[in-house]
Amino acid sequence: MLPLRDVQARFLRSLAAAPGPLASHGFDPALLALVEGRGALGSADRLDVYAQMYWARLVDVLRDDFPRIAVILGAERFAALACAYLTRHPSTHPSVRWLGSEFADFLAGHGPVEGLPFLADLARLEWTRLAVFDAADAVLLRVDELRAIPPSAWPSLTFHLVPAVRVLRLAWPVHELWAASDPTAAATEMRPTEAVLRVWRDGFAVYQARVDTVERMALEQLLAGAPFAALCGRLEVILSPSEAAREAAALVLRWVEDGLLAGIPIRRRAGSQRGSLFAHDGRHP
Amino acid sequence: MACSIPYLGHGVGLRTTHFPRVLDGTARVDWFEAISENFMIAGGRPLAVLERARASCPVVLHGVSLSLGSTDPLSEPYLRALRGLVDRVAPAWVSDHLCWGSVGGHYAHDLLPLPYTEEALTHVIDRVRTVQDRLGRQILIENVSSYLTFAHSAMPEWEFLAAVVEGADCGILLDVNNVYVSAVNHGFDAERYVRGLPIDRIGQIHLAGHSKHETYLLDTHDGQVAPPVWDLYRLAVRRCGQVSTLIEWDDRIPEWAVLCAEAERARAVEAEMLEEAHAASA
Repeated sequence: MLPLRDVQARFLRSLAAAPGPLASHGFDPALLALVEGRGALGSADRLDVYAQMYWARLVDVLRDDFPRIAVILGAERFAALACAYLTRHPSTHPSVRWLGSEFADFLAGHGPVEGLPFLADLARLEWTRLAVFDAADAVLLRVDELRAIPPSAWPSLTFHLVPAVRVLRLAWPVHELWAASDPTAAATEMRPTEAVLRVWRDGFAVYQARVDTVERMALEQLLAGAPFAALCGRLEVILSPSEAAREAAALVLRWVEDGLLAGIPIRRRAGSQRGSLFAHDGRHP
Repeated sequence: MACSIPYLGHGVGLRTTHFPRVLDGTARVDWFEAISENFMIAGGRPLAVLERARASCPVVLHGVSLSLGSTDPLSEPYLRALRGLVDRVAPAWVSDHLCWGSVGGHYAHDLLPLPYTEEALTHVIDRVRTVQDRLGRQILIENVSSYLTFAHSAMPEWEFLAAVVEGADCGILLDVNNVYVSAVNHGFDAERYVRGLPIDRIGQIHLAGHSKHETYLLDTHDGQVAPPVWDLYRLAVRRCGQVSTLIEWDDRIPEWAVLCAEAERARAVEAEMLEEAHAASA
Protein backbone atom coordinates (compact mmCIF):
# COMPACT_ATOMS: atom_id res chain seq x y z
CA MET A 1 0.00 0.00 0.00
CA LEU A 2 1.35 3.42 -0.95
CA PRO A 3 1.86 5.95 1.84
CA LEU A 4 -0.50 8.94 1.72
CA ARG A 5 2.23 11.29 0.51
CA ASP A 6 3.02 8.99 -2.38
CA VAL A 7 -0.65 8.75 -3.35
CA GLN A 8 -0.95 12.53 -3.37
CA ALA A 9 2.26 13.11 -5.31
CA ARG A 10 1.25 10.58 -7.98
CA PHE A 11 -2.29 11.97 -8.09
CA LEU A 12 -1.28 15.57 -8.70
CA ARG A 13 1.47 14.61 -11.14
CA SER A 14 -1.13 12.64 -13.07
CA LEU A 15 -3.55 15.57 -13.24
CA ALA A 16 -0.91 18.07 -14.28
CA ALA A 17 1.00 15.86 -16.71
CA ALA A 18 -0.85 16.80 -19.89
CA PRO A 19 -3.87 18.94 -20.72
CA GLY A 20 -6.95 18.04 -22.69
CA PRO A 21 -7.85 14.64 -24.10
CA LEU A 22 -4.26 13.46 -23.66
CA ALA A 23 -4.55 13.66 -19.88
CA SER A 24 -4.92 9.91 -19.38
CA HIS A 25 -1.55 9.34 -21.10
CA GLY A 26 0.13 10.85 -18.05
CA PHE A 27 -1.69 8.81 -15.41
CA ASP A 28 0.50 6.95 -12.98
CA PRO A 29 -0.06 3.16 -13.24
CA ALA A 30 0.52 2.60 -9.50
CA LEU A 31 -2.11 5.23 -8.73
CA LEU A 32 -4.58 3.79 -11.23
CA ALA A 33 -4.22 0.43 -9.50
CA LEU A 34 -5.49 2.08 -6.30
CA VAL A 35 -8.51 3.76 -7.91
CA GLU A 36 -11.70 1.73 -7.88
CA GLY A 37 -13.45 1.42 -11.22
CA ARG A 38 -17.20 0.94 -10.87
CA GLY A 39 -20.17 0.86 -13.21
CA ALA A 40 -19.67 2.70 -16.48
CA LEU A 41 -16.64 4.57 -15.15
CA GLY A 42 -13.28 2.83 -15.07
CA SER A 43 -10.43 4.02 -12.86
CA ALA A 44 -8.81 6.07 -15.65
CA ASP A 45 -12.18 7.69 -16.48
CA ARG A 46 -12.56 8.69 -12.86
CA LEU A 47 -9.09 10.20 -12.61
CA ASP A 48 -9.78 11.92 -15.92
CA VAL A 49 -12.72 13.83 -14.38
CA TYR A 50 -10.21 15.46 -12.03
CA ALA A 51 -7.65 16.01 -14.79
CA GLN A 52 -10.16 17.78 -17.04
CA MET A 53 -11.33 19.93 -14.14
CA TYR A 54 -7.75 20.80 -13.19
CA TRP A 55 -6.96 22.32 -16.58
CA ALA A 56 -10.38 23.85 -17.21
CA ARG A 57 -10.50 25.58 -13.84
CA LEU A 58 -7.00 27.06 -14.05
CA VAL A 59 -7.42 28.18 -17.66
CA ASP A 60 -10.67 29.89 -16.57
CA VAL A 61 -8.82 31.74 -13.82
CA LEU A 62 -6.21 32.99 -16.29
CA ARG A 63 -8.95 33.97 -18.74
CA ASP A 64 -10.58 36.07 -16.03
CA ASP A 65 -7.27 37.68 -15.08
CA PHE A 66 -6.15 38.41 -18.66
CA PRO A 67 -9.44 39.18 -20.42
CA ARG A 68 -8.06 41.25 -23.33
CA ILE A 69 -5.43 38.64 -24.16
CA ALA A 70 -8.18 36.00 -24.10
CA VAL A 71 -10.32 38.01 -26.53
CA ILE A 72 -7.44 38.73 -28.90
CA LEU A 73 -6.21 35.12 -28.96
CA GLY A 74 -9.62 33.46 -29.07
CA ALA A 75 -10.65 30.56 -26.84
CA GLU A 76 -8.55 27.82 -28.38
CA ARG A 77 -5.26 29.70 -28.72
CA PHE A 78 -5.66 31.21 -25.28
CA ALA A 79 -6.26 27.79 -23.69
CA ALA A 80 -3.19 26.35 -25.44
CA LEU A 81 -1.01 29.22 -24.25
CA ALA A 82 -2.45 29.07 -20.73
CA CYS A 83 -1.80 25.31 -20.54
CA ALA A 84 1.80 25.84 -21.69
CA TYR A 85 2.17 28.44 -18.93
CA LEU A 86 0.61 26.17 -16.29
CA THR A 87 2.91 23.34 -17.29
CA ARG A 88 5.93 25.60 -16.81
CA HIS A 89 4.56 27.44 -13.76
CA PRO A 90 2.27 25.23 -11.68
CA SER A 91 0.47 27.13 -8.95
CA THR A 92 2.50 27.54 -5.78
CA HIS A 93 0.12 29.72 -3.81
CA PRO A 94 -2.99 28.67 -1.88
CA SER A 95 -5.04 31.40 -3.57
CA VAL A 96 -5.72 31.40 -7.32
CA ARG A 97 -5.34 35.19 -7.08
CA TRP A 98 -1.62 34.68 -7.73
CA LEU A 99 -1.87 32.06 -10.48
CA GLY A 100 -0.97 34.53 -13.23
CA SER A 101 1.93 36.18 -11.43
CA GLU A 102 4.51 34.85 -13.92
CA PHE A 103 2.34 35.04 -17.03
CA ALA A 104 3.85 38.24 -18.43
CA ASP A 105 7.41 37.01 -17.91
CA PHE A 106 6.43 33.65 -19.40
CA LEU A 107 5.05 35.38 -22.50
CA ALA A 108 8.18 37.53 -22.77
CA GLY A 109 10.37 34.43 -22.69
CA HIS A 110 8.05 32.23 -24.71
CA GLY A 111 8.99 33.84 -27.99
CA PRO A 112 6.51 36.12 -29.71
CA VAL A 113 3.15 34.55 -30.39
CA GLU A 114 2.69 34.78 -34.13
CA GLY A 115 1.58 38.26 -35.13
CA LEU A 116 1.20 39.39 -31.51
CA PRO A 117 4.60 40.59 -30.24
CA PHE A 118 2.96 42.94 -27.71
CA LEU A 119 1.33 40.17 -25.69
CA ALA A 120 3.79 40.27 -22.75
CA ASP A 121 3.19 44.01 -22.36
CA LEU A 122 -0.57 43.50 -22.44
CA ALA A 123 -0.19 40.83 -19.75
CA ARG A 124 1.82 43.31 -17.65
CA LEU A 125 -0.97 45.85 -17.94
CA GLU A 126 -3.70 43.34 -17.10
CA TRP A 127 -1.76 41.99 -14.11
CA THR A 128 -1.05 45.52 -12.91
CA ARG A 129 -4.75 46.36 -13.09
CA LEU A 130 -5.39 43.41 -10.75
CA ALA A 131 -2.68 44.61 -8.37
CA VAL A 132 -4.29 48.05 -8.27
CA PHE A 133 -7.81 46.61 -7.92
CA ASP A 134 -7.08 44.96 -4.58
CA ALA A 135 -4.18 47.09 -3.33
CA ALA A 136 -4.38 48.40 0.23
CA ASP A 137 -6.80 51.23 0.95
CA ALA A 138 -5.37 54.56 2.08
CA VAL A 139 -6.51 57.93 3.32
CA LEU A 140 -6.36 60.26 0.32
CA LEU A 141 -5.03 63.79 0.26
CA ARG A 142 -8.00 66.09 -0.41
CA VAL A 143 -8.03 69.17 -2.62
CA ASP A 144 -9.09 71.40 0.30
CA GLU A 145 -6.18 70.10 2.38
CA LEU A 146 -3.83 70.81 -0.51
CA ARG A 147 -5.16 74.35 -0.92
CA ALA A 148 -4.76 74.98 2.82
CA ILE A 149 -1.00 74.42 2.67
CA PRO A 150 0.74 77.84 2.83
CA PRO A 151 2.95 78.62 -0.19
CA SER A 152 6.01 78.93 2.03
CA ALA A 153 5.65 75.23 3.04
CA TRP A 154 5.48 73.84 -0.50
CA PRO A 155 9.20 73.59 -1.36
CA SER A 156 9.89 71.15 1.48
CA LEU A 157 6.71 69.06 1.05
CA THR A 158 7.09 65.40 0.12
CA PHE A 159 4.07 63.78 -1.49
CA HIS A 160 3.48 60.03 -1.46
CA LEU A 161 1.54 57.82 -3.84
CA VAL A 162 -1.15 55.61 -2.29
CA PRO A 163 -0.64 51.81 -2.65
CA ALA A 164 -3.26 51.59 -5.43
CA VAL A 165 -1.04 53.34 -8.00
CA ARG A 166 1.48 51.74 -10.34
CA VAL A 167 3.65 53.15 -13.09
CA LEU A 168 4.48 50.90 -16.04
CA ARG A 169 7.02 51.44 -18.81
CA LEU A 170 6.01 49.39 -21.84
CA ALA A 171 7.44 48.90 -25.31
CA TRP A 172 3.95 48.78 -26.85
CA PRO A 173 1.00 51.14 -26.31
CA VAL A 174 -1.22 48.28 -25.14
CA HIS A 175 -3.54 50.62 -23.20
CA GLU A 176 -5.07 51.34 -26.62
CA LEU A 177 -6.16 47.70 -26.79
CA TRP A 178 -7.85 48.01 -23.44
CA ALA A 179 -9.84 51.01 -24.60
CA ALA A 180 -10.66 49.59 -28.06
CA SER A 181 -14.21 48.44 -28.68
CA ASP A 182 -12.74 45.70 -30.90
CA PRO A 183 -9.39 44.67 -29.35
CA THR A 184 -8.82 42.04 -32.04
CA ALA A 185 -8.99 44.64 -34.80
CA ALA A 186 -6.92 47.12 -32.78
CA ALA A 187 -4.28 44.44 -32.24
CA THR A 188 -3.56 44.33 -35.96
CA GLU A 189 -2.76 48.06 -35.85
CA MET A 190 -0.26 47.83 -32.96
CA ARG A 191 3.13 49.43 -33.59
CA PRO A 192 6.02 49.44 -31.11
CA THR A 193 6.07 52.80 -29.32
CA GLU A 194 7.33 53.23 -25.78
CA ALA A 195 4.48 54.07 -23.44
CA VAL A 196 4.69 55.02 -19.77
CA LEU A 197 1.36 54.43 -18.06
CA ARG A 198 0.05 55.21 -14.66
CA VAL A 199 -2.56 52.76 -13.38
CA TRP A 200 -4.70 53.84 -10.45
CA ARG A 201 -7.95 53.25 -8.61
CA ASP A 202 -10.70 55.79 -8.14
CA GLY A 203 -13.29 54.40 -5.78
CA PHE A 204 -13.42 50.74 -6.81
CA ALA A 205 -12.74 51.35 -10.52
CA VAL A 206 -9.28 50.89 -12.07
CA TYR A 207 -8.02 53.29 -14.73
CA GLN A 208 -4.89 53.71 -16.77
CA ALA A 209 -3.52 56.65 -18.69
CA ARG A 210 -0.40 57.36 -20.67
CA VAL A 211 1.81 59.97 -19.01
CA ASP A 212 3.87 62.53 -20.92
CA THR A 213 7.54 63.27 -20.34
CA VAL A 214 6.85 65.99 -17.77
CA GLU A 215 4.57 63.79 -15.66
CA ARG A 216 6.95 60.86 -15.91
CA MET A 217 9.87 62.99 -14.67
CA ALA A 218 7.74 64.33 -11.83
CA LEU A 219 6.58 60.83 -10.85
CA GLU A 220 10.20 59.65 -10.78
CA GLN A 221 11.02 62.42 -8.31
CA LEU A 222 7.96 61.60 -6.23
CA LEU A 223 8.85 57.92 -6.01
CA ALA A 224 12.44 58.81 -5.14
CA GLY A 225 11.08 60.60 -2.07
CA ALA A 226 12.15 64.02 -3.32
CA PRO A 227 10.43 67.16 -1.97
CA PHE A 228 8.40 69.48 -4.18
CA ALA A 229 11.38 71.79 -4.73
CA ALA A 230 13.43 68.92 -6.19
CA LEU A 231 10.48 67.96 -8.38
CA CYS A 232 10.42 71.49 -9.79
CA GLY A 233 14.21 71.40 -10.19
CA ARG A 234 13.96 68.21 -12.25
CA LEU A 235 11.39 69.76 -14.57
CA GLU A 236 13.69 72.76 -15.11
CA VAL A 237 15.77 70.47 -17.33
CA ILE A 238 13.10 70.89 -20.00
CA LEU A 239 11.05 73.88 -18.78
CA SER A 240 11.78 77.40 -17.59
CA PRO A 241 11.79 77.77 -13.75
CA SER A 242 8.40 79.48 -13.71
CA GLU A 243 6.90 76.94 -16.11
CA ALA A 244 8.40 74.10 -14.07
CA ALA A 245 6.86 75.36 -10.81
CA ARG A 246 3.48 75.96 -12.47
CA GLU A 247 3.51 72.56 -14.17
CA ALA A 248 4.58 70.76 -10.99
CA ALA A 249 1.79 72.39 -8.97
CA ALA A 250 -0.74 71.53 -11.69
CA LEU A 251 0.43 67.90 -11.66
CA VAL A 252 0.10 67.67 -7.88
CA LEU A 253 -3.44 69.04 -8.12
CA ARG A 254 -4.33 66.54 -10.86
CA TRP A 255 -2.89 63.65 -8.83
CA VAL A 256 -4.94 64.74 -5.83
CA GLU A 257 -8.09 64.96 -7.96
CA ASP A 258 -7.41 61.48 -9.36
CA GLY A 259 -6.86 60.05 -5.86
CA LEU A 260 -3.18 59.23 -6.32
CA LEU A 261 -1.71 60.94 -3.26
CA ALA A 262 -1.80 59.83 0.35
CA GLY A 263 -2.89 61.75 3.43
CA ILE A 264 -1.14 64.90 4.57
CA PRO A 265 2.27 65.20 2.93
CA ILE A 266 5.18 64.79 5.28
CA ARG A 267 8.36 66.80 5.44
CA ARG A 268 11.45 65.31 3.94
CA ARG A 269 13.55 63.35 6.37
CA ALA A 270 17.14 62.27 5.97
CA GLY A 271 17.52 58.64 4.89
CA SER A 272 13.88 58.23 3.90
CA GLN A 273 13.04 55.17 1.81
CA ARG A 274 13.35 55.58 -1.90
CA GLY A 275 10.85 54.05 -4.24
CA SER A 276 11.58 52.66 -7.66
CA LEU A 277 9.43 53.90 -10.48
CA PHE A 278 9.49 50.72 -12.49
CA ALA A 279 9.94 48.12 -9.80
CA HIS A 280 6.37 46.87 -9.75
CA ASP A 281 5.78 43.28 -10.69
CA GLY A 282 2.55 42.64 -8.83
CA ARG A 283 3.88 39.63 -6.99
CA HIS A 284 2.61 38.58 -3.64
CA PRO A 285 5.13 39.30 -0.90
CA MET B 1 -18.37 17.50 23.28
CA ALA B 2 -20.57 18.84 20.49
CA CYS B 3 -19.72 21.85 18.37
CA SER B 4 -21.13 25.15 19.57
CA ILE B 5 -22.37 26.76 16.37
CA PRO B 6 -25.22 29.29 16.51
CA TYR B 7 -28.32 28.91 14.36
CA LEU B 8 -28.38 31.72 11.77
CA GLY B 9 -31.23 30.67 9.50
CA HIS B 10 -30.88 30.46 5.71
CA GLY B 11 -28.08 32.26 3.92
CA VAL B 12 -26.41 32.63 0.55
CA GLY B 13 -22.83 32.89 -0.70
CA LEU B 14 -21.26 36.34 -0.94
CA ARG B 15 -20.41 36.43 -4.65
CA THR B 16 -19.28 39.27 -6.96
CA THR B 17 -22.48 39.17 -9.02
CA HIS B 18 -24.38 40.61 -6.08
CA PHE B 19 -21.67 42.92 -4.70
CA PRO B 20 -23.58 46.03 -5.94
CA ARG B 21 -26.61 44.95 -3.90
CA VAL B 22 -24.48 44.48 -0.81
CA LEU B 23 -23.02 47.95 -1.28
CA ASP B 24 -26.40 49.63 -1.78
CA GLY B 25 -27.96 47.74 1.11
CA THR B 26 -30.57 45.81 -0.91
CA ALA B 27 -29.04 42.35 -0.40
CA ARG B 28 -31.09 41.35 2.61
CA VAL B 29 -30.52 37.80 3.79
CA ASP B 30 -30.17 35.93 7.12
CA TRP B 31 -26.41 35.54 6.67
CA PHE B 32 -23.59 35.38 4.13
CA GLU B 33 -20.87 32.83 3.58
CA ALA B 34 -17.66 34.35 2.15
CA ILE B 35 -14.92 32.33 0.46
CA SER B 36 -11.94 33.09 2.72
CA GLU B 37 -9.30 33.19 -0.03
CA ASN B 38 -11.22 35.81 -2.04
CA PHE B 39 -10.72 38.25 0.81
CA MET B 40 -7.08 37.52 1.67
CA ILE B 41 -6.10 40.71 -0.11
CA ALA B 42 -4.87 44.11 0.96
CA GLY B 43 -7.91 46.26 0.15
CA GLY B 44 -10.28 47.52 -2.52
CA ARG B 45 -13.82 46.55 -3.42
CA PRO B 46 -13.99 42.94 -2.14
CA LEU B 47 -12.99 43.89 1.40
CA ALA B 48 -15.30 46.92 1.36
CA VAL B 49 -18.15 44.61 0.33
CA LEU B 50 -17.25 42.10 3.04
CA GLU B 51 -17.27 44.81 5.69
CA ARG B 52 -20.61 46.15 4.44
CA ALA B 53 -22.06 42.63 4.52
CA ARG B 54 -20.68 42.12 8.02
CA ALA B 55 -22.35 45.33 9.16
CA SER B 56 -25.75 44.11 7.97
CA CYS B 57 -25.82 40.44 9.02
CA PRO B 58 -23.64 37.56 10.31
CA VAL B 59 -20.87 36.37 8.00
CA VAL B 60 -19.05 33.03 8.07
CA LEU B 61 -15.72 32.25 6.40
CA HIS B 62 -15.51 29.20 4.15
CA GLY B 63 -12.06 28.22 2.91
CA VAL B 64 -11.08 26.13 -0.09
CA SER B 65 -7.28 26.00 0.30
CA LEU B 66 -6.50 24.92 3.84
CA SER B 67 -5.67 21.53 2.33
CA LEU B 68 -6.40 19.72 5.58
CA GLY B 69 -5.56 16.32 4.13
CA SER B 70 -2.34 17.33 2.39
CA THR B 71 0.94 15.80 3.49
CA ASP B 72 2.67 19.14 2.90
CA PRO B 73 3.15 21.23 6.04
CA LEU B 74 0.26 23.61 6.69
CA SER B 75 1.02 26.88 4.93
CA GLU B 76 2.13 29.38 7.55
CA PRO B 77 1.40 32.45 5.39
CA TYR B 78 -2.06 31.04 4.70
CA LEU B 79 -2.75 30.41 8.39
CA ARG B 80 -1.58 33.93 9.25
CA ALA B 81 -3.78 35.40 6.53
CA LEU B 82 -6.77 33.37 7.72
CA ARG B 83 -6.19 34.39 11.32
CA GLY B 84 -5.95 38.03 10.19
CA LEU B 85 -9.22 37.73 8.29
CA VAL B 86 -10.91 36.03 11.24
CA ASP B 87 -9.78 38.83 13.55
CA ARG B 88 -11.01 41.44 11.07
CA VAL B 89 -14.39 39.89 10.23
CA ALA B 90 -15.26 38.11 13.48
CA PRO B 91 -17.14 35.40 11.55
CA ALA B 92 -19.83 33.32 13.24
CA TRP B 93 -17.65 30.33 12.34
CA VAL B 94 -14.90 29.16 9.98
CA SER B 95 -15.02 26.11 7.73
CA ASP B 96 -12.99 24.25 5.11
CA HIS B 97 -13.05 20.86 3.42
CA LEU B 98 -12.22 17.26 4.21
CA CYS B 99 -9.83 16.87 1.30
CA TRP B 100 -6.39 17.81 0.08
CA GLY B 101 -5.37 20.23 -2.66
CA SER B 102 -1.62 20.52 -2.71
CA VAL B 103 1.51 18.43 -2.54
CA GLY B 104 5.16 19.34 -2.97
CA GLY B 105 4.16 23.01 -2.90
CA HIS B 106 2.00 22.57 -6.02
CA TYR B 107 -1.62 23.67 -5.59
CA ALA B 108 -4.33 22.01 -7.69
CA HIS B 109 -7.02 24.48 -6.58
CA ASP B 110 -9.38 21.55 -6.35
CA LEU B 111 -10.91 19.54 -3.53
CA LEU B 112 -9.17 16.21 -4.03
CA PRO B 113 -10.30 12.97 -2.35
CA LEU B 114 -8.47 11.19 0.44
CA PRO B 115 -8.12 7.45 0.91
CA TYR B 116 -10.02 6.68 4.11
CA THR B 117 -7.23 4.91 5.95
CA GLU B 118 -5.96 4.97 9.53
CA GLU B 119 -2.91 6.87 8.28
CA ALA B 120 -5.07 9.58 6.72
CA LEU B 121 -7.33 9.70 9.77
CA THR B 122 -4.48 10.33 12.20
CA HIS B 123 -3.00 12.89 9.83
CA VAL B 124 -6.22 14.88 9.32
CA ILE B 125 -7.11 14.86 13.03
CA ASP B 126 -3.68 16.26 13.84
CA ARG B 127 -4.01 18.97 11.16
CA VAL B 128 -7.49 20.04 12.24
CA ARG B 129 -6.30 20.31 15.84
CA THR B 130 -3.36 22.46 14.76
CA VAL B 131 -5.60 24.76 12.74
CA GLN B 132 -8.06 25.11 15.62
CA ASP B 133 -5.19 25.95 17.98
CA ARG B 134 -3.91 28.58 15.56
CA LEU B 135 -7.33 30.14 15.06
CA GLY B 136 -8.34 29.80 18.69
CA ARG B 137 -11.71 28.31 17.73
CA GLN B 138 -13.44 25.17 16.53
CA ILE B 139 -13.82 24.84 12.78
CA LEU B 140 -16.34 22.96 10.65
CA ILE B 141 -15.16 20.55 7.99
CA GLU B 142 -17.18 19.79 4.89
CA ASN B 143 -17.59 16.54 2.99
CA VAL B 144 -16.65 17.03 -0.68
CA SER B 145 -18.13 15.62 -3.87
CA SER B 146 -15.90 12.95 -5.32
CA TYR B 147 -15.48 11.06 -8.55
CA LEU B 148 -13.18 8.30 -7.37
CA THR B 149 -12.58 6.16 -4.33
CA PHE B 150 -9.48 4.27 -3.28
CA ALA B 151 -9.37 0.52 -3.10
CA HIS B 152 -7.28 0.67 0.08
CA SER B 153 -9.82 2.76 2.02
CA ALA B 154 -10.60 0.98 5.27
CA MET B 155 -13.94 2.66 6.02
CA PRO B 156 -16.72 4.55 4.24
CA GLU B 157 -16.49 8.32 4.07
CA TRP B 158 -19.14 8.99 6.70
CA GLU B 159 -17.28 6.86 9.24
CA PHE B 160 -14.05 8.65 8.40
CA LEU B 161 -15.72 12.07 8.76
CA ALA B 162 -17.34 11.06 12.05
CA ALA B 163 -13.99 9.80 13.35
CA VAL B 164 -12.22 13.02 12.31
CA VAL B 165 -14.70 15.31 14.05
CA GLU B 166 -14.66 13.22 17.24
CA GLY B 167 -10.87 12.94 17.21
CA ALA B 168 -10.25 16.61 16.45
CA ASP B 169 -13.25 17.96 18.37
CA CYS B 170 -14.49 19.99 15.44
CA GLY B 171 -17.84 20.36 13.69
CA ILE B 172 -19.34 19.19 10.41
CA LEU B 173 -20.48 21.28 7.50
CA LEU B 174 -22.78 18.75 5.89
CA ASP B 175 -23.10 19.33 2.14
CA VAL B 176 -26.12 17.23 1.24
CA ASN B 177 -25.62 17.88 -2.47
CA ASN B 178 -22.09 16.50 -2.17
CA VAL B 179 -23.43 13.43 -0.36
CA TYR B 180 -25.91 12.87 -3.18
CA VAL B 181 -23.36 13.44 -5.97
CA SER B 182 -20.85 11.07 -4.38
CA ALA B 183 -23.57 8.50 -3.61
CA VAL B 184 -24.56 8.37 -7.28
CA ASN B 185 -20.95 8.35 -8.48
CA HIS B 186 -19.91 5.57 -6.11
CA GLY B 187 -23.13 3.64 -5.66
CA PHE B 188 -23.61 4.04 -1.91
CA ASP B 189 -26.77 4.87 0.00
CA ALA B 190 -26.95 8.65 0.59
CA GLU B 191 -29.42 8.27 3.46
CA ARG B 192 -27.09 5.86 5.20
CA TYR B 193 -24.36 8.53 4.95
CA VAL B 194 -26.56 11.18 6.59
CA ARG B 195 -27.75 8.73 9.27
CA GLY B 196 -24.13 7.74 9.96
CA LEU B 197 -23.01 11.18 11.13
CA PRO B 198 -23.10 12.41 14.75
CA ILE B 199 -25.94 14.96 14.69
CA ASP B 200 -24.57 17.06 17.54
CA ARG B 201 -21.52 17.84 15.40
CA ILE B 202 -23.42 19.19 12.40
CA GLY B 203 -23.18 23.00 12.53
CA GLN B 204 -24.08 23.94 8.97
CA ILE B 205 -25.68 22.49 5.86
CA HIS B 206 -24.85 23.30 2.23
CA LEU B 207 -27.39 22.97 -0.57
CA ALA B 208 -26.39 23.34 -4.21
CA GLY B 209 -27.11 22.27 -7.76
CA HIS B 210 -25.18 19.70 -9.77
CA SER B 211 -24.93 18.66 -13.42
CA LYS B 212 -25.77 15.30 -14.94
CA HIS B 213 -23.13 13.87 -17.24
CA GLU B 214 -23.57 10.66 -19.16
CA THR B 215 -21.93 8.44 -16.57
CA TYR B 216 -21.62 10.59 -13.45
CA LEU B 217 -22.83 13.69 -11.62
CA LEU B 218 -20.61 16.77 -11.44
CA ASP B 219 -20.79 19.18 -8.51
CA THR B 220 -21.17 22.43 -10.46
CA HIS B 221 -23.11 24.80 -8.14
CA ASP B 222 -24.68 26.30 -11.24
CA GLY B 223 -28.38 25.68 -10.79
CA GLN B 224 -31.26 24.95 -8.49
CA VAL B 225 -31.12 22.25 -5.86
CA ALA B 226 -32.25 18.93 -7.34
CA PRO B 227 -35.32 17.07 -5.95
CA PRO B 228 -33.34 14.13 -4.44
CA VAL B 229 -31.07 16.65 -2.68
CA TRP B 230 -34.13 18.34 -1.16
CA ASP B 231 -35.21 14.90 0.05
CA LEU B 232 -31.83 14.40 1.67
CA TYR B 233 -32.12 17.85 3.26
CA ARG B 234 -35.50 16.78 4.70
CA LEU B 235 -33.81 13.78 6.26
CA ALA B 236 -30.99 15.93 7.65
CA VAL B 237 -33.47 18.37 9.26
CA ARG B 238 -35.54 15.50 10.64
CA ARG B 239 -32.38 14.13 12.27
CA CYS B 240 -30.71 17.38 13.37
CA GLY B 241 -33.53 19.91 13.81
CA GLN B 242 -32.63 23.50 12.94
CA VAL B 243 -29.19 23.83 11.32
CA SER B 244 -27.92 26.99 9.59
CA THR B 245 -28.34 26.30 5.88
CA LEU B 246 -26.68 27.93 2.90
CA ILE B 247 -27.48 27.94 -0.82
CA GLU B 248 -24.22 27.60 -2.77
CA TRP B 249 -24.64 29.03 -6.27
CA ASP B 250 -21.25 29.83 -7.80
CA ASP B 251 -21.66 29.63 -11.54
CA ARG B 252 -24.38 31.02 -13.82
CA ILE B 253 -25.44 32.94 -10.73
CA PRO B 254 -29.07 34.07 -11.06
CA GLU B 255 -30.88 37.26 -10.15
CA TRP B 256 -30.91 38.06 -6.45
CA ALA B 257 -34.62 37.21 -6.22
CA VAL B 258 -34.05 33.72 -7.65
CA LEU B 259 -31.18 33.08 -5.26
CA CYS B 260 -33.24 34.27 -2.30
CA ALA B 261 -36.19 32.14 -3.43
CA GLU B 262 -33.97 29.08 -3.14
CA ALA B 263 -32.98 30.08 0.40
CA GLU B 264 -36.67 30.65 1.20
CA ARG B 265 -37.48 27.22 -0.14
CA ALA B 266 -34.92 25.76 2.26
CA ARG B 267 -36.59 27.70 5.07
CA ALA B 268 -39.98 26.28 4.08
CA VAL B 269 -38.64 22.72 3.90
CA GLU B 270 -37.07 23.13 7.32
CA ALA B 271 -40.34 24.50 8.76
CA GLU B 272 -42.29 21.63 7.21
CA MET B 273 -39.94 19.04 8.75
CA LEU B 274 -39.98 20.70 12.15
CA GLU B 275 -43.78 20.87 12.04
CA GLU B 276 -43.91 17.19 11.16
CA ALA B 277 -41.60 16.34 14.03
CA HIS B 278 -43.67 18.49 16.40
CA ALA B 279 -46.92 16.83 15.27
CA ALA B 280 -45.40 13.38 15.68
CA SER B 281 -44.25 14.10 19.23
CA ALA B 282 -47.57 15.73 20.26
